[in-house]
Amino acid sequence: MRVLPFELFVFATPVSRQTHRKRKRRDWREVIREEALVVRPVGESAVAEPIRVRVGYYFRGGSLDVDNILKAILDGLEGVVYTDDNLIMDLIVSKRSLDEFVRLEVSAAFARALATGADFVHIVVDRPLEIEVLK
Amino acid sequence: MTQAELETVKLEQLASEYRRKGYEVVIHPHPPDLPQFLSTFQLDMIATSRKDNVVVEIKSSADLISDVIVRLAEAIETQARWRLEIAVVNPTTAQELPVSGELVPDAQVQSLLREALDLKREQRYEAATIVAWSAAEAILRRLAQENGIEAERKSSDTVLKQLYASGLIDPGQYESFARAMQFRNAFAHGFAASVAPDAIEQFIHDVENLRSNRAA
Repeated sequence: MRVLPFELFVFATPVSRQTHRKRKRRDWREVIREEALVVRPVGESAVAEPIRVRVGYYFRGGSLDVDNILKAILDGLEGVVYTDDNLIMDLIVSKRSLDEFVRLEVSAAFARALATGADFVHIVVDRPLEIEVLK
Repeated sequence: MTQAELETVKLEQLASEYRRKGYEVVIHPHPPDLPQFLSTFQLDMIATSRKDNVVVEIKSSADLISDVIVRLAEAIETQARWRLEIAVVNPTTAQELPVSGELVPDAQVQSLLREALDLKREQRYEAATIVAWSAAEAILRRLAQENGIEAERKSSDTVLKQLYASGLIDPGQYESFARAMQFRNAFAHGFAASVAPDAIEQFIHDVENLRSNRAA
């Protein structure tokens, strides 16, 4: 079994890169790391090939800035899903409020995440697009 | 517009969109119109084409917490060229914050906490939680201001998440405050809600700790 595509749902309020306490940021990074280790297929190790990372933050009520939560997520995945941040060719980050109008394409795993009623972060790591032209 | 009206309008908009894209659309299909794997579900819409087929459901945020959606997603996932799209539609909520105003001073926060404890002793748990929440929110907003976190026009929920994300409150405090806030949100708007006496005591204790740590 291969590591990619790798999919992870994390049910916890993210912690900001700008946290006032470094230990706190390490905690959030550890949550990501531990959850990623659970999901990674047994016997597999981090890939050392170009990758695409997509991060979706789904919330009710108040939210955090996406740029501030990203670093801890990427740090948590490094060494578990991919060997080095430098392998990230495409990085797509989004947040969506479930209290407003939003259209979602829903897999069974995503439906289970929605059904918890909690805020969550959905992370998908796979291969980068072969051709990408910014429009 | 009511939630039902919003959902109807959105359903019509999505039906038009899929028809423009060349799909054949059926709104509220009857079981005979559905393939076997969908025959036990009551669906808002299906859109079919040679390329792919879509089940469209219109839901409120609260409706997403549902085993039915999970079962529907699982059923669709077993079929090639079928996908599930959910459009989340919610009524606009009222602005909860006053247009302007000043936070209550620290002395009044202490007074509110004493009042909350008195109410708790009298077993007036709902009132105790509401009064303690008032003290809590003043402390949370002041803590945010003091640490350069923009909180003036942010909702209580956003302020709480930002303080947690910034490491200014710990996970235990976050849980305690979030639980009290959920109770406040339901109770203050006329919805049925209850709060456990132990949880109130813990909440008042957490608010007092945060106040005294801030003051230290």
